[in-house]
Amino acid sequence: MLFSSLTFLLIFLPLCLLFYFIFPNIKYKNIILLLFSLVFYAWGEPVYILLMLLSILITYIFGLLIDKSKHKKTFLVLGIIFLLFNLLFFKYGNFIVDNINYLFDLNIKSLNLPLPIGISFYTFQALSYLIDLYRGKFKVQKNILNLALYISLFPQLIAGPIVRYEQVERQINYREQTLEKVVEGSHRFIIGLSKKVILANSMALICDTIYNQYYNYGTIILWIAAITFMFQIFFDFSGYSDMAIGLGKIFGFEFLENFYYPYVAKSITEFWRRWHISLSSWFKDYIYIPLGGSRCSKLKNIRNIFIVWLLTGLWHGANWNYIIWGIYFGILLLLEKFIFKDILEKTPNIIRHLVTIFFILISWTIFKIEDINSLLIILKDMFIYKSSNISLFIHTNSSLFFNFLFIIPCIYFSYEHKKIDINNSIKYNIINICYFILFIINIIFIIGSNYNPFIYFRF
Amino acid sequence: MYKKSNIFYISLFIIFFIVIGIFLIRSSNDTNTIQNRGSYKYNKFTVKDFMSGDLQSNMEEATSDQLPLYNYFQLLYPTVKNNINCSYIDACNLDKETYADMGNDLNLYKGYLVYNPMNEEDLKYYDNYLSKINDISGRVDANMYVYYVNSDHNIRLDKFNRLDCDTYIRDRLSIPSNHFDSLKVNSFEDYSKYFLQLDHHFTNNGVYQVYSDLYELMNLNNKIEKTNTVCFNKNKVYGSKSKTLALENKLVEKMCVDEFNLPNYKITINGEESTYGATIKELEDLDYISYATIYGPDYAEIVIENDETLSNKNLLIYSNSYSNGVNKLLASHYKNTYVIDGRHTSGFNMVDYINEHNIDDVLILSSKVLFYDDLEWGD
Repeated sequence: MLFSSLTFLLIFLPLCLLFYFIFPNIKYKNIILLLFSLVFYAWGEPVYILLMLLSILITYIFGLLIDKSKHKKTFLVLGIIFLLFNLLFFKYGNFIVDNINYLFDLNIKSLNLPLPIGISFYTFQALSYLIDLYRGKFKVQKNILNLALYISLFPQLIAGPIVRYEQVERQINYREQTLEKVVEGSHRFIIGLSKKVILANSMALICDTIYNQYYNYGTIILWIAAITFMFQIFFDFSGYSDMAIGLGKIFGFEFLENFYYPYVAKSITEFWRRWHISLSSWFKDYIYIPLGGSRCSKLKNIRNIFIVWLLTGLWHGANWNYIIWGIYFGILLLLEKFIFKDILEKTPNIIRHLVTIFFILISWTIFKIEDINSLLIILKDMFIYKSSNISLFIHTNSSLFFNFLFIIPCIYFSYEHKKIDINNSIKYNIINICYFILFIINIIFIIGSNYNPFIYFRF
Repeated sequence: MYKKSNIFYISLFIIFFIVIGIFLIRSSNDTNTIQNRGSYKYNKFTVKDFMSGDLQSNMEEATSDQLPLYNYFQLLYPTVKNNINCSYIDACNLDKETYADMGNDLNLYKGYLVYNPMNEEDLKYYDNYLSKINDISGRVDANMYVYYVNSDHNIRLDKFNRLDCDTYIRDRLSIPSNHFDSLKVNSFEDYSKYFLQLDHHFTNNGVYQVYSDLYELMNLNNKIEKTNTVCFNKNKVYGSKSKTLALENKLVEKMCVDEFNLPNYKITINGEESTYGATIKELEDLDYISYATIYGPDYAEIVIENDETLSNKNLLIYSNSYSNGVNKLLASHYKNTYVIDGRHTSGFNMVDYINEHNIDDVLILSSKVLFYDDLEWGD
């Protein structure tokens, strides 16, 4: 079920809120949240709900074993293997078989398994639980329902952020529920919904229209597609994170921020401190630092960075373009760190910012185009000038003009602005009413626009 | 802080959700007038539908169709979008010589709103429907006729790329090959002669061409001839396509109606005696006219009794709105004509219906729209 669907907004969410707030006791509230989370997942994945339940069970059992046994490390390794096997089998099975067939000219039958939505998110949450438990960061969760709630909590289940157990351990049983938090959470949710429905979907229609017939278009139009995809993925992804954080707040949870104006970055390193923060910090804490991080020889540091970015690429999808995308960022980060560090420090901020945006644009093109041949053609046409018949493009795609108008708010909302100072109840009421109207506008967009892509099904 | 304001804000949402909830539970919208089809309603929960995802799709569609003020909700976005597009970049320019995308799967071409044509691989979706026709033809004594409407659904008009639906259908039908025919559209001129600019239905010429084709196909006698043609310039045409794009006021067309000397029918609609279609006089008094106001809208069952014919044969027309223009013309050749629109029926069994009403001829008439439907009939 998508947050930006009518079923979610007008049926699932009101029912969930109704049942949630009817019960005063936190234990019952948690059961309600768990039940609704399972329905939420089963709605989109009626079969793979069993896989998620199995992951929860494995995490629970191995958590208890790590806690009680003397062979903590053995059970940690076994738990990780079980969880990673699920991820590898369902997410990368087809990819591995296809590549073995290609490399060795074999004809092994492809598994043709559809990818369970959100498997990367909930597997990473389960892994962090086991690893942090082993590291002694918190006590084992003995109540399987509470652990199930942590892994399957619907606000962050299918598009993140990746929540660490230590962040929510206390909140599961003791969380503050206030009217202010409900209102704040709803504001955040509506902002996220608007980012997704109004901005990201408008950009998606433009870039998908262009990329669907990329061979007909020249350099300028392909750069327009790259720019629109850059905005689409940011507002889509950060919109989902905002909705997750907002919903969490409504239910009394405090999730950490996942995006912090990434397109203001003046270097790739800074970009990754602002983009999908929960994933970057996950890889840093569970892969990069255990490998030695930067406190080792230069050669090992380079190896560590490469491993982390190869895995980051793979995490985003089982395809070569994601691997290239990961390696591309790995190389850029290495260049920034070891070669251009001094030059970058002396370069004016605006130049650094523009150069960063340029490399990000290229990265999103690699990310978007899964077919390598098409990707090479598009990149070639972006860099070796090919004329574009812009008047024909406008003529044959005149319905896109309206969508182009949303580039202006996309640019505006990519940068941080001073918050409105609310110092009296009239202003506060007006803002509340604006949020309500914005919610209705989102409903109108969902019903009328007929274009609502979901881009995380590969994650 | 601002406790009262917060309570007021939350109350807004509570009232909103209660109102929406009442409408969704009632599910009283039967017809989606924007898209000219029956409204989706919530299906009963079945494990099979849930596992296949059909239940989930149905719930999303039914929620959209059953919302209060759904017609405003569904039109507001295209109204704003297309009015801006047409005002600032001349998107509604009628002289376009290539397809200009207008959104909602529609293009503007030489003043006509036309759909993006289907792909060859989409034809496989016809198979289910065709096998049902074959199954029924083997189980009844009535003559089965199939008439396919070639249209912008399977023809790209600017390049005149035509997907050969005729051969595909003919090859898969087990009825005699001379029981199948189609509306031949061999050029843009043919298309513009047979189809309205802003609507997916026929012009008066299209209606008469379909009737003429059916007259030949079904070996009928005493063809009805036109007596007069009246064109309406002052009335605005309410086209299904322009309506979807909320462009009724930006795009206009002239609409003509043929007059015929038809028998005095007794018409029963869904079991109640009624009239069907409008007279020229009635049309002149209307501000808006449309295919449905001229020929009659869609109903589950229309029965046309003709006491002025010597024929004692009965006809069943299984179709959608495409047959509306020819129903009364065909009825002149039969004692009783039964018209069924599967979108509005529930549990319709064609074999039983044929047997119960002593049907001699069955006509299945439509374009892609009907052949794509997975309607429960004849099981």
